Amino acid sequence: MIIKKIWPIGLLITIISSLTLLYHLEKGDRLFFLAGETTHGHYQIELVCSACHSEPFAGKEAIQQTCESCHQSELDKVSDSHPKKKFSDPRFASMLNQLDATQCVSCHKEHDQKHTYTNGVTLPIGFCETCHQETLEERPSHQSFDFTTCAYSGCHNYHDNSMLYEDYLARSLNKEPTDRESRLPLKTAMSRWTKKNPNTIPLSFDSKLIKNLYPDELINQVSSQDLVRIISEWQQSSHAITQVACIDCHQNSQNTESNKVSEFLKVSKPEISACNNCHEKQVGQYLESRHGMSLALGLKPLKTEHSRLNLKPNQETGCIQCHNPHALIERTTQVEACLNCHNDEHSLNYKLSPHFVIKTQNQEPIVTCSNCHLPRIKKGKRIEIGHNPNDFLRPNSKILRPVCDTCHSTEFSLAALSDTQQVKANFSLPQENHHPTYDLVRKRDSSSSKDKESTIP
Amino acid sequence: MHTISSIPKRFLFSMVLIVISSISIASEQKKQFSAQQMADAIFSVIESDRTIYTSTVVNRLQNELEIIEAHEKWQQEQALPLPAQMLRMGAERVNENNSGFSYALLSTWPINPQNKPRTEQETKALQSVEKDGKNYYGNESLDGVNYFIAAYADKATSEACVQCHNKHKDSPRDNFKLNEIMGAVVIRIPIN
Repeated sequence: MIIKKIWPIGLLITIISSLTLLYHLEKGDRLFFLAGETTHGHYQIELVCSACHSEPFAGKEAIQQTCESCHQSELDKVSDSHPKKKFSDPRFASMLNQLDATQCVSCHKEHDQKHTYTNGVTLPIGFCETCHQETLEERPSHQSFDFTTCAYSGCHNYHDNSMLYEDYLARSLNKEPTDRESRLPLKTAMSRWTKKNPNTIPLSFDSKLIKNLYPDELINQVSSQDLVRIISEWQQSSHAITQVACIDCHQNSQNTESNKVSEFLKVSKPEISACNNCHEKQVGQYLESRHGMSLALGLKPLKTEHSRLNLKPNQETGCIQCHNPHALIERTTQVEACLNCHNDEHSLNYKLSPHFVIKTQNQEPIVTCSNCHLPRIKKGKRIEIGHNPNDFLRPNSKILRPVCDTCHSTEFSLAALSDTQQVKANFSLPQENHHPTYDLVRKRDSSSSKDKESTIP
Repeated sequence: MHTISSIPKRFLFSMVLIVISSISIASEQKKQFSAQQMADAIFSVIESDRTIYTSTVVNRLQNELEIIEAHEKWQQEQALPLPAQMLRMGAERVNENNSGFSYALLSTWPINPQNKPRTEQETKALQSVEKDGKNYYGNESLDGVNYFIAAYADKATSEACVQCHNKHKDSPRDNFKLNEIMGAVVIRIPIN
């Protein structure tokens, strides 16, 4: 009797609950569904559940696929020391039972911020011991170390050891810590363009060409003070030299054929697709970075007040936030654009760093923020500018060869990069030219006969 | 005259058991024989590819023409992969593609300790191959899966192999000689 009376109430509660959940899932606040706080690497995209959970109730394999879809190419680029394909060999079966190295989530569990350590690792430090116990027996030089220091002293990394191998480290033995005559490589994009297009005349607002491009309506707008300034800046920029005119960026992507002023004004802030028309590679790298990852998944650009980093509020990420597309002044892009947002100790100490204090002949800082974090990479005869700071950040030894080695000995740089206080001080503290890894390198290098460490006969 | 009913039941039961066992053993031998043929064929391809890579790519470009070196950190050094690395990359690619078998280059004296024999059968196979240079065939069970395992001698076929292994700081031996067995290619094929 009682059941008969209360079942409609139960049904009503079920329907209301289901509708509430459905509303939150489709229209409302998806934070409601988060199983726990997301990691530092994923919080920007935490509301796009499908980025990791490709299908409802996705199993281990499906989750692994989504990890690989975003991270595999980066791991391949740095010759991952522990790739999944290595451990798929059945000879590692007993080891995998202890630690399944074929699954990212074995070490990088999501929604467990309380147990998430450096680099998003959710295993306690010292996990190397699970598979490498023999190291202490077979390498007398390592007997004074313990497994908690492998990856936290600038010696080894689980994935990326591309800058931590002996031949490379040994090359800078006995080098002076700093070569004050060295300079960063010069950028090549403009010189290559002008070489390929020798007869191209830079665009000018007064030229007949520009008048042909735009109707009189627009010319009349020049009286506006801002427009005069913008046009003046643009005339000095590489966009004018390479014949990139206003309409090339300010066109409405929905109506690219229209040159009408009304359409032109609608697109006061061009979207990233406008930049992508010419700078596809750079935009691709940007979208893979922390700066662009939310945009890559169709979310709104990250606003600084929503970041977990120490950033100044009321800013957002995007191409034009760093590059003023009209002025394209290098110095602004390389320092001020970064300091507009980044408010942490390392960033704020930049202006105390020798990198800023020592000036070039033109009174510019000798090394800017972007020289380190978006470095100039030599690709054959070209110098490309990296547009994903993460490619040179974690582990920070990634920065050694492309950046630090230009002016410093590798030992000096490695010592500085593995000292967290020095990094916070933006390298403004006194720095010794010594790192413990080099004690081992020197010992083996100076040995006239081979220093065989293994106990195997 | 004996009728079938007069034959002792215990004898009949024993005969049936013997027949079933014989069929089972014969069938198992047949399976092993085909797995062995497959392993031999796979080794033939691995060995041919590596020999050709060593002579026509590494030896020609590094030693004869002196155009580019081979280096174990080939990506960072913009160099050629070493022949042993080429073999391991092939093995990893096979794993990645779930090709139904696996192989590894192992040694009792590896430069990387992870390439030492790891299972009981691997140890036995390496000992056998290093002793007489003959192919080794066996069976093992790993994590509940039965495998046919075959091991083939890996010899120091060129002076480059000897030099590199004798000079490498992480190599446990510095007295390898030309044509000496340095390790073995171990192939595994799941048999159930």
